[in-house]
Order: sequence, then structure tokens, then C-alpha cells
Amino acid sequence: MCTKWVTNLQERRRCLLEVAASRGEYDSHQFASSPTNEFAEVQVSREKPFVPPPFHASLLPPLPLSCIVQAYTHSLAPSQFAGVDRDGEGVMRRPSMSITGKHELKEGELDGIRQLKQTFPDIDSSTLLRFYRARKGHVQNATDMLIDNIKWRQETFPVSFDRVREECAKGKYVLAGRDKEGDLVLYLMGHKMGPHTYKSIEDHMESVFFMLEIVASEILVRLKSALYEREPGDGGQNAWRGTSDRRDTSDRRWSSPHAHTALFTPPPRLS
Amino acid sequence: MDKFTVVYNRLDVDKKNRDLAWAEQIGKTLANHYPERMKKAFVIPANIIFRSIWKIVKVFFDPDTASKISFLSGINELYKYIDQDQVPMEMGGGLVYNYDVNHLFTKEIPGVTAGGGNKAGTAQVVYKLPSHFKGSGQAN
Repeated sequence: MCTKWVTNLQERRRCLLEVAASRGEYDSHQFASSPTNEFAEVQVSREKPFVPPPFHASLLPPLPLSCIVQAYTHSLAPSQFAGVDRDGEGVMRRPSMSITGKHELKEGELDGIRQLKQTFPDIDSSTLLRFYRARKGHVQNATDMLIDNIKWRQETFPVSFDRVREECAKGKYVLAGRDKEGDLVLYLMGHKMGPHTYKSIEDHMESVFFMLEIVASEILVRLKSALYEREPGDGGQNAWRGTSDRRDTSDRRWSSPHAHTALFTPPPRLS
Repeated sequence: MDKFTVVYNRLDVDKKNRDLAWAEQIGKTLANHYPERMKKAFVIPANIIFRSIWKIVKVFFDPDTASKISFLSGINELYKYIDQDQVPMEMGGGLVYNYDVNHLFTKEIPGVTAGGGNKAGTAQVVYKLPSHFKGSGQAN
């Protein structure tokens, strides 16, 4: 077999023919005396010729934070099942590509995220950005809020589906359709609400936390699969398979394989 | 991006559905536990009385939060933000959905993904919950 690199085209041709002959596709004796390629001597090169590497998503440079929006919106654009129309036929819908300026990363925010990243290296940048914006760019307040949130998560989760199944079955919260920017829409059905519908407000809120967590995970998985060109259906389980070389890139923001799953794994312990 | 829109459907809402404790808890949850998740909130339909109450209560809210909440008088105003075929039929739109507890919501949810494995061609679905939902039987 041609395992070593062949520089001479003539040699290469002979080698290929040998391989073909060993497979029984060619008669090697028939080609032994045949005239060689006259261009062979001209094209001889001692340098290794350029061979493009096989394409893989992990070979692409890491995306800046502001690109998430575009990647997300564009990935949702084609072939979305929107529902069934009044005649009973399926409707495919293409959400609009408009991106509001609100979602774009502003200049000062990147510094804020970097500061927060030093305290919380395992938490996803987009999560840090949300907390940073919720506290209006105050890093210390955002840090306090994140610590409170991690504590709350340790107290609240995991929530058993068996416990909240009955509460979820009442159909108070419905996640259906998308708005014009392609984001999910959560409907609260007011006529099914009320103090008479649940035993205690704590029980009800537990089901709300459960459902909001599902909504958040759906958003995150879609975001992740948009970034790494995976189908949303695989649950993001394979999103990092074969992309370990991403860690060697200069931009460290996307380097942690746990960065995007921070909200769905047990939160880090606080000392 | 990582946000969702909330629509509070006030069709057929009675006095018995009024629940201030719930509203307080939902507000706290969205503000403290899921910050910046809510992109926009619509209350629909909202009459004049409801709107005038909001104008007074608005003062006590954070101005950024208050600007996210809007009160719409009818379904036609909602179509400015959500296409008609994306609004559920019970609210007047064109979207049909089946509410199933086991689906939790109307469509397939990644992480609670519907797997294969229906031998007899039945609509049986295998669920795989995210790993921190340890209480459920079929979690990994």
C-alpha cells in the first residue's frame, strides 16, 4: 500500500496501479511497458503538496459572544414546523431574521463578563451576561446575585417530575409557538389559575421551577446546537464530541466543555 | 437570544382566579432566579380599569422591568409581536397544540427528548430527563 508520501507522480501512478492490480482491477503487466506520463518530470516537487484538511466545525475559529444571536436566529430559520392550520395541513414557517439591538454585546460588558469569569470560571458567559445586565453593570452586585442563585439552586433542585406531574397536568403554563424574532412564547392561562387550584403556593412554585428549567434548557440546547451545528434532537449530549482541539485556541471564553451546561449540572460548591 | 416572551391570557378570568400571592412569587422568580430571561410580557385582554391600575402601580416597579410589560386590549395587537399562526387557537390564533403532561409542553423538548424504540408502531415515547432531575424514573 502507498503508506509513505510519494513525491514523484510517476512513482505515485505506478504505486496506485500496483494497488489496483492487487485488488484485481488492473493487469499490472499490461501497464508495465506503457509510456509514462510526460508531465511527470515537469511536476516533480520535493515539497509536500498542499492537501486541504477535512472540514469539521471544530476547525472554525471560536465565535465571539455577539455572534450567538445571529447563529441562533439563522439556525432556526429553515424548515420549522409551526403547527396545523384550520384545514388540518401542516404549516412550515420561517421566522424573521431581525435581531434587536438589545441582544448585542456592548463594549463595557465584555470587561464585566471577564471580571465575573474570574470568580465563576465554570459558568457560561451568556449566563454571566444576564446577571450582569440584571444588576445594571455592577460587578459586585452581580457576583452576590450569582452566589444567591447558586445557593437557591442547591436548595431547590433536583425537582422530581413525579411530585410536580399533577400540578403540571393542569395546563396552566403552555409553551407554544414563537414570536417574530424566533423566541419561545410561554402562555399563562389565567382562567386555570387561582388559589383554589393548588394545595400550597410552595407546591405550585416547585412545578413552576421545574417548567422554567425545561424552558431554559430548551433555549440553551438550541443555542448550543446552533453554535456547533448539531441537531437539537440529540439533547446536546454530543455537542462537544470531537471538538477537544477547541481548547487550544487563543480565545479561552468557549474553552470549557462544561461552560454551556453549567446550569444543568450540579452547581459548584461554595466554600 | 436566551429569552422568552410571556403572554398572560386573561380571557374568561373570574374573581376566583385572582391570586396576588402567586403574582408576587412569579415576579420574584423571574427577577431573582431567572434574571433577564423574560423578553416581553403581554397581558391580554386588558380593559381600561386594568390599565389605569397599572399606571399607578408602575411607579413602584423598576423602570426597565415596567417597560417590558405591556397591556393589550385585543388579540390584534398581539399579532404585531407574534404571527397569527403562532398564537394558540383558544386565544383566537391559528396554532393547534395537544397538551400532554408527559410532553410537559406542546412539542418535543431536547433533554426530555423523545427517543425511538417503538416496536409495534405505537406512539410510545421514551423520555430522557436532564441529569439533575434524579427523582424521575427514566433519568440517566
